[in-house]
Amino acid sequence: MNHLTDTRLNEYLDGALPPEELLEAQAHLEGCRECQARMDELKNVFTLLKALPDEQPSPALLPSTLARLPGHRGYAGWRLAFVLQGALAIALLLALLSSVLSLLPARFFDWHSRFLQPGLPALALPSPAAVFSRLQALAEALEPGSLELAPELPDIFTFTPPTLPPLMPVIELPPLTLPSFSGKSMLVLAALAGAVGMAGQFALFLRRRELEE
Amino acid sequence: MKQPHVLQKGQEAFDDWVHRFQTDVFNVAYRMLGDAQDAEDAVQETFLKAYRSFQPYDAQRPPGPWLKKIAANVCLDRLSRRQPLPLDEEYPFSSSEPGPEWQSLARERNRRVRDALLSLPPRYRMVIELRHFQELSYAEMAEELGRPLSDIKFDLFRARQVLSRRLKDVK
Repeated sequence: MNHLTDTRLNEYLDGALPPEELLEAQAHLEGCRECQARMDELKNVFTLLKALPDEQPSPALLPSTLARLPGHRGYAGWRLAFVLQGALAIALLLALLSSVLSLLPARFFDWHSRFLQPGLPALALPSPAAVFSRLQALAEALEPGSLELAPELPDIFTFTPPTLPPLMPVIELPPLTLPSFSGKSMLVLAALAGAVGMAGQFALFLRRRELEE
Repeated sequence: MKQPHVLQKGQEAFDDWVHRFQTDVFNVAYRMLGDAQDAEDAVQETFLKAYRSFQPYDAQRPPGPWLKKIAANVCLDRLSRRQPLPLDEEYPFSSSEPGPEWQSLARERNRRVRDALLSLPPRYRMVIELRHFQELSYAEMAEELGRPLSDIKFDLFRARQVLSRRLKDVK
């Protein structure tokens, strides 16, 4: 006698056997104690799973779930809190930056004038014709073949090309001045950051209390 | 463009779903994850996902099975992000000794069943959830999980075999 396979036994219990196989399986189970015992073990699993009771979630789940839904009135509170916390982060960053800048020596800010030497063209590109004529003038000013015949190449740091007229009017830029960040301004920024953060926390507290009610 | 009052009705309908089905969804998650806090996080994720694909006319169709399927998938994702174990290796099974907090026989039996469920690998847990608690057919499970019917049957029968062994002395 062929016993029922595990697959057929499971399909039998799930009601997934076609009618003719169902009758065949029923007939076999009536006469086979071994298959009956296997089926009883499986049936026990079905029964235990079915009897598993539902558990109750915590009372806070409902309001917190609703509050997270976009468009829900609770959501505005979370979004506001998010914006306020972002503002707090930016304010803190500014305060940190201001404190770092206030510690730097004043000459650190002279980079602008150091790079833009008077007498050199600045902030505008010359036209190709102007570049060509400048190169031509430079070539004429140098002694012909001097670079090729020189026993040693000129030191590029001490070599000074002949003075040439500027191609275009020099644009004189005012020296860059950055606002000086004093300890006071740093304190003001830090206080602002703190105020924004406290406002955010207060908004969160109010929203949470409202949801819990 | 949808009229505001239609959207408003949709919002109200969805809030109603949260009220009505949060316990069902929680229990799907609790059976699959085994931890109340994790389950509540999964409930929130489920409703957020459902909300994003929610349309006001959805209020006409039965939402319970849909929400529970989303919840099961959310839990499966969460389980797959945990430390993976080979499929044939079963999860640690807690002692069958009754704890002091479990006074009644019924509670002890339910604890054993939950422990046995949590001892299953996630794939097996998923098919048990869909078949026994959500009552999906083999074909529906295969469609839901995007896997061949033969795989679904194999996982389901194997999961039952493991549970049967674990729960042999529990009646």
